[in-house]
Amino acid sequence: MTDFDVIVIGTGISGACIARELTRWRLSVGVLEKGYDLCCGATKGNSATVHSGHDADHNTLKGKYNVLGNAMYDQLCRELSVPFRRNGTIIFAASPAEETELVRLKANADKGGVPGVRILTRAEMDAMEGTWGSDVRGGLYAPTGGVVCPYTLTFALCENAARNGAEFFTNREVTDIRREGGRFIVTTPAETYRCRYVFNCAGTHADDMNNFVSRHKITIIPRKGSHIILDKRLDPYVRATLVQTPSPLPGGGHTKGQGIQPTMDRTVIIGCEARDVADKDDMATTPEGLDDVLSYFRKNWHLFPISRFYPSFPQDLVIGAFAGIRPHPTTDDYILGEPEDCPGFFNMAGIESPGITAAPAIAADLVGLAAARYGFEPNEAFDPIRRVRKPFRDMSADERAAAIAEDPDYATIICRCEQITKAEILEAIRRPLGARSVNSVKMRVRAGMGRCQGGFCSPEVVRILSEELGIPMTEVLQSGSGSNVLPYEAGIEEGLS
Amino acid sequence: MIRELICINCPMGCRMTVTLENGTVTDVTGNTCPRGRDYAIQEATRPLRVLTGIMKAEGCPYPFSVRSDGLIPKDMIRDCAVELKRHHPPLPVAAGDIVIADILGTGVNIIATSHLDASFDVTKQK
Amino acid sequence: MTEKTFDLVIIGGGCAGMAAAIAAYDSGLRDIIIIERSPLAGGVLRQCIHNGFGIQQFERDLTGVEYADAFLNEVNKRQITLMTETIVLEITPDRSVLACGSGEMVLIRAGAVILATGCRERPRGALLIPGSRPAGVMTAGCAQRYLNREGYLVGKKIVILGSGDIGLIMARQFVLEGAEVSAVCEIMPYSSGLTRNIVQCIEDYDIPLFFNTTVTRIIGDKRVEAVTIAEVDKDRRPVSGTERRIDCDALILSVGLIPENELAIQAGLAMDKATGGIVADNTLQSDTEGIFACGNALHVHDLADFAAAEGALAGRCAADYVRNGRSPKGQVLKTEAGFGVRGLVPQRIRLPLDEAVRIQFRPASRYTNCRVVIRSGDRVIASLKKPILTPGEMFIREIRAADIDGDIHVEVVL
Repeated sequence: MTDFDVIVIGTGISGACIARELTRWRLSVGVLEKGYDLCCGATKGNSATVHSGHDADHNTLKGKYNVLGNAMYDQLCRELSVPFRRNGTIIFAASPAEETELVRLKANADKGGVPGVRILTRAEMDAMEGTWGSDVRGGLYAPTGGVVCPYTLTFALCENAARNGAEFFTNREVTDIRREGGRFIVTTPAETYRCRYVFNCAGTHADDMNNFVSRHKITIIPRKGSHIILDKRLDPYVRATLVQTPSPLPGGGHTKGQGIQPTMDRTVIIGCEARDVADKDDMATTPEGLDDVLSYFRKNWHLFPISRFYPSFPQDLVIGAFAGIRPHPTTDDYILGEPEDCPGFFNMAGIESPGITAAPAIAADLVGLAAARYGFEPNEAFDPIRRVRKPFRDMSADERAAAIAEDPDYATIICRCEQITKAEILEAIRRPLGARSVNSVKMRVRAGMGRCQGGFCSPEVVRILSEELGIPMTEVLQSGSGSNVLPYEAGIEEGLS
Repeated sequence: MIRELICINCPMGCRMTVTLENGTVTDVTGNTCPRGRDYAIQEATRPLRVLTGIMKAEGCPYPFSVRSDGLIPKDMIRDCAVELKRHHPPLPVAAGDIVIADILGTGVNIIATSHLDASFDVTKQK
Repeated sequence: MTEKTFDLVIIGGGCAGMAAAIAAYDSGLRDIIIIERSPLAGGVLRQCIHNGFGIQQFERDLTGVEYADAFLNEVNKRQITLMTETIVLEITPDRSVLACGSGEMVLIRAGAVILATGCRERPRGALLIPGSRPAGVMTAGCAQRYLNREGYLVGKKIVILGSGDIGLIMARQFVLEGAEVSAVCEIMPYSSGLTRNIVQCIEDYDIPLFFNTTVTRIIGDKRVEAVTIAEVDKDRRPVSGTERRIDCDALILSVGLIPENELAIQAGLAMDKATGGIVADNTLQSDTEGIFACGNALHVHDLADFAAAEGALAGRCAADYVRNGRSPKGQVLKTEAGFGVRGLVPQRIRLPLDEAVRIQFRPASRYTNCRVVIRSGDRVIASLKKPILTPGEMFIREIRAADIDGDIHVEVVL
């Protein structure tokens, strides 16, 4: 039995924000993650958008925290040295009905206090992004829309929380929570934890966590969305996030708009569609999901300004696809705070889109509320700043020379597509909450995420992991336990017949 | 006996039929050139292959590459491939070294095609 | 940062790059450097332990490793600088080469540059194969490197998607190393590999080879557990109802090669979508003076010998350029790909010509009993009867300088 003041369940954007907020107070904080690494769920497979809030329902918690969260991003990313850019969002209309919808969205944005939202004429749109397709009639511009890499931000939040004293445990799937003598007993197969407070940030599994301890049952439905990644070569032609006006559904609500967006890593993301699925951990891409995205872009590519440079959808510049699994609450709104029958247990559940945007604001409010209610003492030593070196690929020639002079491993480029050096890979392994698998290296420093998808560098990364962790090559993992990259040594005699 | 073969001399990939009587070729059809006929006769009577592979030296984790210095009967290739794994010559190994002499009595030697020395550094074999 | 100057900088020390250096040296140039990323020159040949190399070039059947050594020996006989463990980060149109390696940043001012950076394999992501992302999915070249350089097998029950030569070669080697190859699936009705490899790597070992078949799903959480394969229709879309599951622990991809040209693209050189390489003239020079390309970086070759021969041409032409200080300013003709012709090289012909022009392309599909017709202007200068053309084998034809007086048009006539 291990004791903590607080146990946080989950290390997606929600758990990471909560963990960091908790370290502002004098508390012992344990963070449990069921995956092999931090940030293995909804946050990993995400469109990377920091939403302005123009389309949120401002009578809901989603709407409220979308706008509040968006406003926090500049400072948060500065403190954590995470790249972030307000590239703006343009919702474009290609029919009179869509134009009408823009007017409704504008009024909605104003009601919610979304800064700077305005209707654009076609001429203004052309001036901003280049010439749009002839069917495009107008648009809505939301200047506070931005892009961030959700898992880079999440790793940074966790790392900063760890520097400020939080302890993180991976491969800890919570199988039971119960109350015992004013404490919570949190059970995982590996270890049992006892704590005063629990923060439930378990993503698609947040309903299970709540339902262990509260009579007020909640239901989270896993909802899958597919995204396709395009080569960096398209980056110069995609500036703002461009989304076609979503059509209102007959029964209310909206379809997800398909859009194209730059990323902080200079690739371009297109997507996405959304459909409910049965398995809460199923992040496999599906033919239907990929088809939805592809057929939309094959059909509507001409609407986007990029089609002036690439007249048809550039299938040959597709470098990959991923599916994300979003935790959709049946209540259609975020489920926040303590269930009335379970004081000390804080839900941060159903954090679907715009969850990446909203999470910092929700976490600040929830932890603030807990601190006030339970009298937490401030942690004077809390340091909000995370210091990192600039990535080699972003350095000037002189900066590179200086980095190499200091550490010769900077001169060894392991991932040539993304120009990731051996020094950076070693750093990713050696930092707090460091990488222990090929995918963990990839998520932290992008080695293997470029156009060759690790074809050239994964053998080198496997070797570095083997040497650095002091394990045989055959024990180097791609992801979690059982995912050995190289299961067999060649030429073992009994293997031959 | 009738045997069907695909010619490997060019991308035509002619489908050839070889007639054998008592192990002797009596007829080849389907070929479009004389090279096809020669190949068919060789392939139907005594098919031969080069064996290439990797071996490990004594006490060395990295493999080095090898080849047969002549042609090996096709039906012995698998046995010879297994035989490669039973030998662990001492370091250093240099390209051209005979690492298995007269493999399985074929009269063909297995020779190293890459270099490996005690530094184990596969990348700096020369 | 160290600054250097060289008459000729060759980026990439595979067979094309080494052949370029040797030819440039032998034509009289002396101040030559090859910049190679790996610790040992040879490029991907270092993991090609199989034979079948050098039949054109050396009239011997060499393994890839031996073939690389044959070139390296020739390089070492000459005063050619070989800078290994160095990666070029950037080139500029005025031929500054920024490189990083051996513990420092180096800026080289070059009289001429030859891009011989080879190619990479098309990865899973580009194919959009649906499913999960377990360990055990990788390209054939990656599996080849793990096996031949590191000594590890990536699975024991393997499915291969694509019948490119590396995939076929690896199928045989997997079997000889004690693994089972359950299937090789090729989406096209024919293989993109050499017939020799179909027979000696697949048929010799009774490996099931399915044409018009692709992988439609990858299954497995930690490692690959199975794949679903399905037949495809004539538009290469899976036919529903034909899916079947094959249990396996690895999926190996051999589905095409892509020229590596990030340096050329960054430098703003004109690129050809069809080849994936630069737009080259008959001297293999780009649209930017003094920058040349050859080998698989220019277009993907079927045989290493042809990549090396092209390297030698680039080496000679770059040496000429350095000697003359400029390229000839004559009329520039275009070459045009007609029916059945994909990835025609060169894309431009610069007059006057003092040697024959080597025309190369990949047939767009498999054609039998056809002709390849080459015109200069309106005049037919060659009409070649071909019993067979396949995309797996490059068409190569030298055209005499005297025959060329107008734009070149090449087509397949059925």
